[in-house]
Amino acid sequence: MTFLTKQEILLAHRRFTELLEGDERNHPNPRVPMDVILTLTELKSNPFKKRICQVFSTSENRDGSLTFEDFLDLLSAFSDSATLEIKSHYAFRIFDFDDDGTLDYGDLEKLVNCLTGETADTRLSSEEMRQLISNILDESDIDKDGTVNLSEFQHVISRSPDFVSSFALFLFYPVFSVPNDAILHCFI
Amino acid sequence: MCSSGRSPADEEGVHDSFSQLIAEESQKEGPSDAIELQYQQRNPEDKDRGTPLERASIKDFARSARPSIRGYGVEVDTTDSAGKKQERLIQNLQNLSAVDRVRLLKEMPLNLSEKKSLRRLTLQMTKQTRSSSNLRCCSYLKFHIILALRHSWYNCLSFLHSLHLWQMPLKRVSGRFGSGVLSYFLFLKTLLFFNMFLFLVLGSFLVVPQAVYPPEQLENRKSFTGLELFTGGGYFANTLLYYGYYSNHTLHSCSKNNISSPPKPECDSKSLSYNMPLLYRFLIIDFIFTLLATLFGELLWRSFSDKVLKRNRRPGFDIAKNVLDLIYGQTLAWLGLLFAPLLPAVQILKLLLLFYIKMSSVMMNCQAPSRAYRVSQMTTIFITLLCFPSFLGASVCVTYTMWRLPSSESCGPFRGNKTMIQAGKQRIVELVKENPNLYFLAEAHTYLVENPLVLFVGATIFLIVIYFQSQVVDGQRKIIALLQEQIENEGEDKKFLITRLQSVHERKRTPARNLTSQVSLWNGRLV
Repeated sequence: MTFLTKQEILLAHRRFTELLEGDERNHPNPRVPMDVILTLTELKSNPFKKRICQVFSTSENRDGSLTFEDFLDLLSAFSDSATLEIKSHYAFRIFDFDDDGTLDYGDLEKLVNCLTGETADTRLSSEEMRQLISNILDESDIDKDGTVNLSEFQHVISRSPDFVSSFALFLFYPVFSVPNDAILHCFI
Repeated sequence: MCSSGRSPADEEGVHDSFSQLIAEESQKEGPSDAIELQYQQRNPEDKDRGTPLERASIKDFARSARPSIRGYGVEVDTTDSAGKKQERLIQNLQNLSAVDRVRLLKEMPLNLSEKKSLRRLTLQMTKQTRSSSNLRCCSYLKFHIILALRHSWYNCLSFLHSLHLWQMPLKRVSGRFGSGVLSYFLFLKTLLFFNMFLFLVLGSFLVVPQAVYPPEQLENRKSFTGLELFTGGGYFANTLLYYGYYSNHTLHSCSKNNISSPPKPECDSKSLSYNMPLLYRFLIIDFIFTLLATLFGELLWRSFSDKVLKRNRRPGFDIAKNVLDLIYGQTLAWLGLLFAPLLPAVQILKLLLLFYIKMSSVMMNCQAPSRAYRVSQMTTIFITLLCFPSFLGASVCVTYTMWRLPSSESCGPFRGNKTMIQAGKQRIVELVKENPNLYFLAEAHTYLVENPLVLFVGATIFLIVIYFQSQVVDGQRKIIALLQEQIENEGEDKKFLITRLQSVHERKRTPARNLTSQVSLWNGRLV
């Protein structure tokens, strides 16, 4: 049900259990808090790491903690074989900082700030920000309501040919263990 | 006739053309249902998310081969509640085959627990709707056997998949140097697998039986010095490497379980009519020259240009020359196959060493190619070159040798006979004489191998297959051209619709301007 292969699911399970404390490993469905997830090398330098955790989290208080299933959802959406629709859908949700279903001025501003960096000298001035966001909206806002909704976003994404390959994340180092059918049975 | 704000007719018109576009080209309802379900769960107050525009865009991107469920009588209705939507979704899922269902589930942007519950519900419903099929005991057994076989087959496949020869180095090379250089290394890997297969076949039928029953060793057996690796003579002359070592009697010994072969005369490599070590030497020298070319062409040139010329540019990796070198080496191996059955093993070792040497050389010395490289066309050319001059030429030479040239008098498994083909025939005859049970083999030999009709029929079938494949390729080319045209047309349609929509919204946004212009028009007329 995910876009991952058997080997990738096993590798994910190995990396996930490494993040758990000793006593949590015996828990039936352990949940890893966000700050522990963010120590993964693949996510550490990603500017949107917090949003990614929040989007894929299924906890009630939306605190960004992930169970193993959420972790698999994350890897599946970011994998090589995921379709354009899935990737653009999740990209939209990641960029929608206030979770209101559209990308308005505030969302786009936070998006640009994430990309430009945290320090004061790398950020854009408010004038530059306004210019940039109005360019973005000119380009993508079809119904001219000042926000980018999912369909407009997907339309813009479809025009960029390398979105699919750059919206990707791989877990490193190969698997040498023997497949464990019990784990795989739930997720295939 | 002043237009006070939005003109519903215009917007309706645009939306109508949108929905017409959808109706003509829409593919499926499933994921959009799922997306709506998810939105309703997250934003329960937004009831009408399912605008035609939103549904259109999601469908427009459905260009991958997704299963269509329109043929299953699915209604297009956007005003259902969440519960009914889920029911409809499950019903649609049930009607699909297992493969389509899995693909549909994969493409839904829901989280894993929801997908699992959907799957569980779907399977429950299908179990209920299926009539009570009582499996009889033997079909029950058959079912389990098939399941076990399929399970073991998947395990086998996943094991092969996890072997991943050289996966990390290949990824590194393709990341730094692009797919052109990667194609060279993939070609090398393909050649390696060809040679492994050849070695397996030859090894199991020729080398292993001979190695298991070695003929008696003779007194003046040469000792092994390191020089033999280069010349191929000396110690190697009397080993499994060359065909002279192999004896015809070995096969008879195997069948009769009687190792009473007369000692054969020593095969001095110089007295042979075919200079067997020559091909081995060709192979080795090819390897040495490739090494030298790598050394001088890449390593020394790079240090020279860095230190003496002080240029920033490093030498580029010449893909074409390297590929031709590989093809040349493989041709030699194929030519030598008749005389030295272990040559594929030598070639495998050579390719393995070459891979690591080339990999380190490329990483250290070269830079990425500046021009874009049309990889798939070049790969086709490589394989074509490998097949047509190289493989065909080698097989023609080998066939001619087996068929026409007289075999050696004193050495090898074919000694004493006129040609190798005759030796094969004679061997079959002798085999049949010894075991009368193998009479059918002689019959088969007479009617199948000797009969020219068989060759004729075989050639005709081969030609028919080639013609069929070429027609298929032709048809696919036509389809590609049609699809390209379709893509262009769709682009035009999209552009048109978007500009119309934008103009409608423009007009919507500036009603005041319209009003004043209309009023001034009236005023102008009155005046």
